[in-house]
Amino acid sequence: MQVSRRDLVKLLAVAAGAGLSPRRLEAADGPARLLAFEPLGNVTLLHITDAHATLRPVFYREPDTVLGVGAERGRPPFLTGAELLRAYHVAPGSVEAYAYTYLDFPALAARYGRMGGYAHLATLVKQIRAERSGRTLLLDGGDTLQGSATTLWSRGEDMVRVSNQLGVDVFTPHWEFVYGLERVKELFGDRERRGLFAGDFVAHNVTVAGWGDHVFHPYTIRDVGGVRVGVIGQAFPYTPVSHPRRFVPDLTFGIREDGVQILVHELRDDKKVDLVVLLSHNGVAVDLKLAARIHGLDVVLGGHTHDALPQPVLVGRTLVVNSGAHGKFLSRLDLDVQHGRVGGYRYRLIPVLAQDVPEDPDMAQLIDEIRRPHEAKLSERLAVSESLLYRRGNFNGTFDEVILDALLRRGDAQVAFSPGFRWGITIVPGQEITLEDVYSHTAVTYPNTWVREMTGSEIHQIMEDVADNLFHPDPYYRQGGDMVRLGGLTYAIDPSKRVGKRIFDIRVAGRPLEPARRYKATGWASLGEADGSPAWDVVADHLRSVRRVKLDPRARVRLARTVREGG
Amino acid sequence: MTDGYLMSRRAVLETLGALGVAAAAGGLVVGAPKTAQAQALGQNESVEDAMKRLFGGKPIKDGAAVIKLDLPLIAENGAVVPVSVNVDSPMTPTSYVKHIYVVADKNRIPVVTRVTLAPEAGRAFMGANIRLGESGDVRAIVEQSDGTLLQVKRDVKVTIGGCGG
Repeated sequence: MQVSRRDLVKLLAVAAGAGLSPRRLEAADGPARLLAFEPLGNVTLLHITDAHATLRPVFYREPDTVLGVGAERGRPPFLTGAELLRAYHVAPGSVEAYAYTYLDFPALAARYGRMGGYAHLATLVKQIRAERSGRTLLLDGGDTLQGSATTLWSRGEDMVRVSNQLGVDVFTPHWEFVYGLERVKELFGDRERRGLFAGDFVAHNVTVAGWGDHVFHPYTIRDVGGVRVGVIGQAFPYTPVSHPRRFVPDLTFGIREDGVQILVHELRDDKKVDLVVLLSHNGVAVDLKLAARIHGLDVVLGGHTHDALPQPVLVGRTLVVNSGAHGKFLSRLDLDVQHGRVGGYRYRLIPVLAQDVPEDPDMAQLIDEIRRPHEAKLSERLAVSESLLYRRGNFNGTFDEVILDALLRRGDAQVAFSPGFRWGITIVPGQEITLEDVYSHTAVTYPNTWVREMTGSEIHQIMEDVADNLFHPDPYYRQGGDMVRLGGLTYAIDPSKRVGKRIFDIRVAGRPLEPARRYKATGWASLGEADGSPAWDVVADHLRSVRRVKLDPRARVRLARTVREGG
Repeated sequence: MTDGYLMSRRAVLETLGALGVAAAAGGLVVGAPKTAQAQALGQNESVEDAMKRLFGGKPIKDGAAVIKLDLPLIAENGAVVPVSVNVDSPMTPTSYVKHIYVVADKNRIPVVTRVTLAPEAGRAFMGANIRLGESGDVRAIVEQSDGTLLQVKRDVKVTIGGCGG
């Protein structure tokens, strides 16, 4: 049935009054309901983040396990599955349940289809820009130039072209730096000159080590329908320790509360802006803490941790938004800004459902142009999966298990390590795994595999170190990423403990890990130098040889009882 | 860009000038306390022993209200960790900050440096690059001209790294 936006809003109001269940409503109007948005106020902020170079629609399953520690436990963003549905009053089986949770993923994926894709996203952005003419600002939180073969091979250029076509106004980085500082400058410019990117690239917390000089503009000021909007860029604070140091040898990053506060004052007092936005790649937990400690921030548009927050979290007077990953969502935040204050807001984390949003022809053409030279190679069918394969979650995902199996086999090793990246698309049962899918899980600029001997205590120490980067009670000490993925061994973990005490009962091939014993270990994406075959070759070869993937459940990680019962 | 950023760099250089210390590429070296220098290289000292040796049993108050200790939460490179200490204090002949100590609890030799200030410095500030062997607390201890001791500390993580996001 054809329903105008205005009708739909009325219908929703009537339905709410009549006590119709969301399920009924879903049946009544379908996903069109998600696009109905009654405009509010005078400014619309559109936010995307962590697209990880996902040009075309994909499946991306949200995590089943994201554990908070201490006071964070059970509060957003540390809510998954049924708990999340309850907290946000989402009906099981609805399109929101599909978009925001892992529940019934294969069945709902069959019903609602793939999500994201820049051509579909472009249609939505154009629609909203037409509706809110001159009052819209589109911001991208970074991790845009990594995660596909085409962006790796073009060293980020394809995604900058696509971002220009989409009309991204403001950008802040993280993974962009793995192409090295010079490449970032070519693509995005710096304080002196512009790059290929047509918008403004801002990062207040990227300075030259020892001198403190800013490399990029710390903020930009945009006139949005007569409202002066100041946007401060907060690049991922732990870039130098998260990737090989060689990419940014002379740069220093960090969270820098003082720096943010100084800029907020400068924007408000000297530059007389009406609205102050932090475009952040901190991760939600860090942003929630930061928002509580900085005065005068109106909005934080955040990314990095890939959390799809169905609603902003209000911290004091600051709205903290997080917009998921892989192009699944477009955040729309309408604000009523009067005399330097936010009088009201309306928000939706809009799921980009490819089957319900037509492609924008211009964007589709550009994507086709980018992909055409590589299409044949990337569409190689390596294997068919009978299992649901995904990566995202605090602990080993099923796609990780495939990577670990490949590494163990190639390296003839006892123990395998794979990073706890949060990116990587999902394969539904019955789907063919292509070479492109393998790149979606491995396309980094330091892909080489390694094999070497490690003592049991070294293995344990690495696990503790990474666990602390995930579960440190103070989010400022978390570097991000999920727990390192391990093959060949099993372990138990209590995230609520301190560093050095979280991991226990480590077993290699069923036998307790011996601290002094040497084990043959393998891995990839090392921060040091490694010269083994790139991970995409190792994984692709493995898949070509097995032809069919079927994973039986693996009891890889056991959670301490306190966590299971409390969580 | 903002005065805040430029000022801190300028302030470091100015303070260095006042201290008569030369700045070398990206870092600076300030004299370690005599007692620490007297130790044989390779000797270990626990932080408890070091504190006892430096301050005896004298009480040390919480300095959070006046001392600003600035250093990374997670070291980008454990071998070169920038640290600065700024004390909100008068610097007059009758009342001034006499010493600033930097102590890294987990280092083999925990007492990293002691800076001696005179009222003429005009400002109680020091900056240095220090080395941290492993994660642990770093403290700044301030000794005022009347002998009062104040302390703040912060945990600094030295990680093997690796990512996510």
